[in-house]
Amino acid sequence: MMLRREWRAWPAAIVAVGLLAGVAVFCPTRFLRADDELTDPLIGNAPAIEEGRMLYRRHCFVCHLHAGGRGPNLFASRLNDQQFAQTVLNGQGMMPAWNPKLSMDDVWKLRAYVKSTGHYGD
Amino acid sequence: MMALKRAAATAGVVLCFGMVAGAPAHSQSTSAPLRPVSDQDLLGAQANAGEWLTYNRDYKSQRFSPLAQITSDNIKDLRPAWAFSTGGKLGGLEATPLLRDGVLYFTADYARVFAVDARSGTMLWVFEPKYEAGLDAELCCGPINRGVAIKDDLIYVATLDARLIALNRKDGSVAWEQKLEDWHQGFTGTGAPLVVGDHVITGISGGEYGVRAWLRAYDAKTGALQWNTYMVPAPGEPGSETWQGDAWKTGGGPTWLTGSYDDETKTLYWGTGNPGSFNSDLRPGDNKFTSSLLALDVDTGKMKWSFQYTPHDAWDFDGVNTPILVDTMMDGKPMKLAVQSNRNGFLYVLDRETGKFLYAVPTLEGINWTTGLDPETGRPTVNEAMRPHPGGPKVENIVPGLEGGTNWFPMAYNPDLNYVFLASNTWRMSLKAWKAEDVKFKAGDAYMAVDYQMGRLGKTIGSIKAFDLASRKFVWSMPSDLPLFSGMLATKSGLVFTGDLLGHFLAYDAKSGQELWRFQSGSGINASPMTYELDGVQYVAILSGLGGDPSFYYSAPKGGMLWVFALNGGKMQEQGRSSQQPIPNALEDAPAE
Repeated sequence: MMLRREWRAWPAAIVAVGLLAGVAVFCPTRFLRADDELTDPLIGNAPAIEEGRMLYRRHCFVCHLHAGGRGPNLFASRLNDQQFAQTVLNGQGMMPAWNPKLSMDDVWKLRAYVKSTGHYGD
Repeated sequence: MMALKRAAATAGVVLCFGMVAGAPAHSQSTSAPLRPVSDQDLLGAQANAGEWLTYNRDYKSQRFSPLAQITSDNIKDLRPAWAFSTGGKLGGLEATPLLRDGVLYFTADYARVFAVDARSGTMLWVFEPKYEAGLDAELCCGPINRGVAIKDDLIYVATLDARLIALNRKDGSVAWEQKLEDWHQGFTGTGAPLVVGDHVITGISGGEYGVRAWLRAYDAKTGALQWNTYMVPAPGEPGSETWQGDAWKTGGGPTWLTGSYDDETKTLYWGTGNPGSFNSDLRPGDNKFTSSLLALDVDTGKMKWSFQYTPHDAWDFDGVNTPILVDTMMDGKPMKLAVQSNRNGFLYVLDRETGKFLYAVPTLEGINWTTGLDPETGRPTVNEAMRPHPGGPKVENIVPGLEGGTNWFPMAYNPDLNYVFLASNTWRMSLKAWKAEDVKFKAGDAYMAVDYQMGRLGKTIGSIKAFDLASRKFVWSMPSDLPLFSGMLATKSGLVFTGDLLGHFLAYDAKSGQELWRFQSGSGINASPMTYELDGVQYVAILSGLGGDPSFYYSAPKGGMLWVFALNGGKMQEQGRSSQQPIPNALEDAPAE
């Protein structure tokens, strides 16, 4: 019984290896390693920061408020840029996934904004 | 082999259907016969002591049970009979279970519907709606749901992606489904529907997204739309004179809580929520019929009268809270009342036959958004210093804050005492209105256009109160350090049950307010209790699981549990499993070799 199951698994394994090889050859981006994290290209960009502020007040404020509310204080976040982007786009715990409502560009604007100040508002 | 084929076929059907509607899982039949719930059953719900057939127990929404086995003398012996975990993402529980034929029907987060054997806590089936990716980002207040309705052999639920679904009671399979709106536009379903005759009446949520809300009736058997009444009038319609320009198109007025019904006059009483956006200078006028109570013909949806609690609302003072219908003497005359505790801080008493304002009393101290209500009309005189203006300074210390007062948590009424029981919160908020040029409506995006912050005024925020309709005075009040978000249950034996955010399930003496009993449920309680009787045993049930709006204000452990209590834990639990109880059929579902 066990031998028959192992034998039946071989075609699936061959297909899986083939798929992985195809991804490796044709995928437009290489696999990320731990030492080449995504970084926000808009840090310090004044127009992007202002757009990020508008995105924050429209989408984030209801939970994260001026400096944390139901959600954590994003202005004191210890997440790096990549972790921030992953959390916003994919969600985590009570945090909803904002993909596809927010684009990658939106996320970097948000990140640039929360890195630029200590809190929202006056 | 045949079993394998059956399992595969079943899996295929479930999978295909689940792609569209969601799917029942772990289905097993109940041992007791399921009697169809008739019109007469629903009309007589108050007299049906053992069961709980509609969200607020009866059409008058009194949440008063004739059961009297549990009393102030023996409540010390009230202990858990069983508990049931709703699992999932623990996104908050706000429902009130229904009880019919020994089965509890209730919702958990994401409008997951459970049918559970009410004697033993054994799950009979669960229906889990399937949602598209991205929905969570459209939910202002978490993935909560407040419950189901029942009629004949069907269970009705509104889903977060704005569908109305009818489920077969026997197994949770979908009988019909109706799309209410496009959820991408900010519409969501969170309230328990109300069934009257062949109408399934449902409202809609989305007040924070600039929706133009409505109330609708759908055919109970087929799901066909019967009538639709918008809460915000279009140009030329009655009430449109209270709007300017195109503001009505994003005018809000969501109908997100279950209303009440008077069969004598065939009248629905349904509350409406805040106008959109919160930035009130951008929508001049009274903005009817937002933040109001409406009386509507149940067969046509035609409006009979309206009463606007908060004209031109700038503070998110939804008026959705369910009105309790009370027939009582007032000034020596028999009166038919609608009694409602509001987010704006007042308890209103209206003549429900005419909509005339009779009187109101504050449910908290320090209300400052108004200097008072007109004694004849009830119209508030607004303290304009408490209204933020676009681009203007932040307005501080507005009382109450936008959560109220009394938010969605339903009241209860004891006709023997003529007391209304309610929870009210005393706190403040700041509001800063965005500049007009920054306010751009985009369907599906939040449309509040203000920044807000809630804050404490003192050590105590919540109060559980009893109001005497005869003397027009509060007769007792019990404090809670945290805000309260749980509804009330009153019993014939003179008890009041409710919960708090610390997780306590609480019982009070209805007359004196003395706390008689408490139980730590393990998570914050933001649902409402109910009671039922089976085999001569009275049970009391409450859902425990912090989430939704209340989780803004307290970070207790999340949870998802239905707790059921009886004196000494109930006879059935002491005696062990009865042969009449359903047996889990998991082994039958296992794939065969």
